[in-house]
Amino acid sequence: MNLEDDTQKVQRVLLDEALTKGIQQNEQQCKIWTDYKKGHQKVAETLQIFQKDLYVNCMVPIGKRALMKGKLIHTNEILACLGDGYFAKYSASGAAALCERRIQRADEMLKKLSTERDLYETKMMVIENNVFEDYVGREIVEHWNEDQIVEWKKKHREREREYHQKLAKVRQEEKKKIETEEDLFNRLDQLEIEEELAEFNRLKDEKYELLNEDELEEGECYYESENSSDSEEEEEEEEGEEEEGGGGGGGGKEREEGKEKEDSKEDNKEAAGINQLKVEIHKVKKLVSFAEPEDLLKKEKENLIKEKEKSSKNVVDSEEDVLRIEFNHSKNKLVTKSDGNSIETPADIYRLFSKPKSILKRSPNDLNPEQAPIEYSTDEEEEEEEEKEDDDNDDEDAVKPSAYETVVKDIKEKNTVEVIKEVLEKKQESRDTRPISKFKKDRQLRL
Amino acid sequence: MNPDIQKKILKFETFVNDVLKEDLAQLEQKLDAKNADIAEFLQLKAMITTFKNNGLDKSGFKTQVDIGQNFFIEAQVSDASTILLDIGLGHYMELSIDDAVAVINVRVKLLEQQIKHFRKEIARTNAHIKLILLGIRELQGFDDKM
Repeated sequence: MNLEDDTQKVQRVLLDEALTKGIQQNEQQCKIWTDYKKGHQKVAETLQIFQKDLYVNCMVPIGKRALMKGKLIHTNEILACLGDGYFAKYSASGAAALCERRIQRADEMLKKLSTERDLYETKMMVIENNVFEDYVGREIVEHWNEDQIVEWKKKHREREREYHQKLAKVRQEEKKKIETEEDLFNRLDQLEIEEELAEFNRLKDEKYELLNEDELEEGECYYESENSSDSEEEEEEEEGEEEEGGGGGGGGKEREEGKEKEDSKEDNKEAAGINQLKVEIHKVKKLVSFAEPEDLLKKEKENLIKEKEKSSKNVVDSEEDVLRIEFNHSKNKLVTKSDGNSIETPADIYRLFSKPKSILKRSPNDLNPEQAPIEYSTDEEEEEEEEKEDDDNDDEDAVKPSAYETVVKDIKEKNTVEVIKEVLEKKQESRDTRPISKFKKDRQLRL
Repeated sequence: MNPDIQKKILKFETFVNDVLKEDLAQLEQKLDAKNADIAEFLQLKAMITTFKNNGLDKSGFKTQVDIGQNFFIEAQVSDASTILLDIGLGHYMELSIDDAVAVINVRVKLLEQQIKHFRKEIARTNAHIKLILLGIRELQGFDDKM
């Protein structure tokens, strides 16, 4: 304990010395900077005086010990030392400005020095008031000797041996269990039963009514819901289109008459569709369940097969139901601007729907039916198509987002092959042209 | 060891450290000052001789004067035949250049004598220190031959 106290005392003394030294240095610096400042102030004053006269009589110092009678000439030309043996010729006012700048710098330095001094002084105060004297914590010291360590090592080795023996036993038992085929199959059956139980429980919890329960398996619920909603909307949309076509063929007058009715109908339908969508979306929830790897593999295969079938079906459907769009121009006045959420011109659609996309992956649950279609419209071609479509719908004051969606989706499905081709082409291009560095490119351009 | 001797040793040591070494430092400072003076005078003399050699004392010359903090203004000395020399205690005396050279020579000689004196003093104090250290060693009982 004595030793510790001594070391503490020594530390205290050392700290004290360091602080006093710091304060002394600070004072020295302070003196230097104040001198610097005063000198420059004087120079500035004298410059002001000299500036007034053409020449000033003075004694020219020759060395330190001798003077000569002379006069200062060219009082507006001042050679200022910039340091390191470099001089700059200033006018009197320029030199005065230089002095001012230097004085400012000196002021800043003095300010900093004073803050430093404050810090040092507060530290000194802390030490003088013995703030750390009555501290509670002491260093933790554990005493040991060679014998104790040897003993501990022996014990530790024994314990380790015991542990390893136990581990080996457990392993052997496990191996025995799955030695015969019967055991293996038993185990598998058990696992399957567990799996099925888990499945059953989950279904019970969900109370999934809208979708076919047989089809609902893990990971698939999401796709199911989307497909079903899509197909519904498609049908709906087709009906709408047919109606439009009939109206358009009839002529302008008929159209104007039937227009309001159509609108109201479509609005209703739309609303219904959206509601349905919402309901479905709310009911579908993502679930995570854990299954044994073997079962998972099986299931994945099944899923893949099912999906393939579905996609083929979809393709067939879309090929059969090719949309034919016929339209006439109405006699409506041009609407250049619209406010709020009403869609009257193509510009409105652009304004309402193409909002900045988030880069985050959307989960199907928070899919907003009005914004959903935007996700699929990525290519410019599609946008053009949109605009065509919009031209038709322009006549009818309101555009159905559902129609929009189906159209765009159809396009997408058809384009898949082309898209793949494009991608492949791009890849090949990228292979052909090796990446060139920026600088190399520059050089090539210059040549 | 004898306590008396120990006391004596302590006394000697303090004497060496507090008195003799202090004296030595002071003497060295003085010597440095004198050396600086002599260097200045020699420089001044060289300057005056260059004035004379180049005939500047009649035609006058231009120079740069420090007005503080390394700001220089050009100055013209039209008549360089007389010079004001520092003759000590902040008094300056106007002398012709030739006289100034003579005075400077005298001053330099004086300074050289002073320097000699200081050198002697320094040697003496050094000798004292050495002597006392030897005495301390003898008191401590070490062998002289070491």
